[in-house]
Amino acid sequence: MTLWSTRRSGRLAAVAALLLLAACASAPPPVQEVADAERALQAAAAAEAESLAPAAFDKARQKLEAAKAALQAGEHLRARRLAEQALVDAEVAQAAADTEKAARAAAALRAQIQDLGGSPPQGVTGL
Amino acid sequence: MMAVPVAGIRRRILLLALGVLLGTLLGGPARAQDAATVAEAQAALEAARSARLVRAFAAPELAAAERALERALAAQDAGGARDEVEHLAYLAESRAAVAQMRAEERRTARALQELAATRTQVAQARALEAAAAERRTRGLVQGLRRFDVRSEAGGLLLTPRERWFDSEVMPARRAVAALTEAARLLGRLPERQVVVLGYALRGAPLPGAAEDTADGAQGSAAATPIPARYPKDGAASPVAGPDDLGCTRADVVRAFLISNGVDPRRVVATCLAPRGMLEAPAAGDIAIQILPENASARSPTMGEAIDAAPPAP
Repeated sequence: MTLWSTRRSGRLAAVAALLLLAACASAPPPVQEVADAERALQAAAAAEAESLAPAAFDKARQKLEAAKAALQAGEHLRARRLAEQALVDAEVAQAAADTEKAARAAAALRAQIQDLGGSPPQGVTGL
Repeated sequence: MMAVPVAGIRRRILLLALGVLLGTLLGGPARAQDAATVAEAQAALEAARSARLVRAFAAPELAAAERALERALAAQDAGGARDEVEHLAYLAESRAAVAQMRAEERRTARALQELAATRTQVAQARALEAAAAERRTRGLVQGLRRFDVRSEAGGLLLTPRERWFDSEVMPARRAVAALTEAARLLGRLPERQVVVLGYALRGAPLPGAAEDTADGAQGSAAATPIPARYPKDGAASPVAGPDDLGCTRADVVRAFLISNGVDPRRVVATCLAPRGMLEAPAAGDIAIQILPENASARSPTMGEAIDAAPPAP
């Protein structure tokens, strides 16, 4: 092993690193993906997911923030993945919130029926 | 001898730096992201696909999850980067979860319609029953000879047509006949709760309220309930009210009703003291309140204002 070969290894490493950096940055900026995720998060917020499904909602929000930061930094691949995950996490949060609201509404109706001295219809009580 | 170790050290340093750089570049994009294996996504999708509920109620979401899994599988088959495959698998797994939740939500939404219809039916049935009970009650009280009857917050207020007490706590003879009539009526309405209202002779200021002046107190119809005391097991107790003749008389009437067959658990005595030193025309008198169907009688706590003006004498 000579000093020359050591220097060559260093150059190779630098070239590989630059290629990787270029690969990350060369993807088109995921502006649409970030906007879609933002809309999904707003829809989840409108469905009260922040209080009804806080874990999923927080995860989506953090990923969206990270996606925006990555977009600003020119890390397009990372930004795209984060935005796509933020979108699907927001949809999970919204679905969880909607499911919870429906379950609560059903429970309230069952309680009202029982307070009136009735009994909920068969097959509905087990929800 | 010396050149080899120096070159070796440099090479190691360079390799280490290259490794750190590669790790940063490869790991960097994955930071803050979630990942799932394709196998996990396949299992989640299989669970959703095998649920009849999901197929029936969340077909679009199930199809979206299937498309997401296909993308993950295609990336894997094409030898794509592991983190990209895991990213796509995570999307597929999450979409399978969305399908499960949407199916549950839509099933519940459908059940809500059925529950709402049932509630409406039950409420209508109860309203009809209540109206029938009210008609029956009105028919019964119309036969009363010794009471004036008026509707009171969904219930009925029976006011004696004559004063029952000429002195202290002993009911007059005419009062005994009226009380017997009331006990007979209450026996025919065994489901209704009853409150014996005693109108106190002396006033009692509302807790926390400023003392009324003589002028300000006059004409005030606000009343402070003074809870009568009697054993909680409902056993008949002749007299146990606060130190006021009106309160004591309420207890006497309650005891009389109980001794004439009214279940002690359904009758309470409550004393209403005019606020300040109001000289109510009916002070010292008694009224009997028959509560609405399904209402429960309770003895108000001290300081709980109730809107009950003394009946006209």
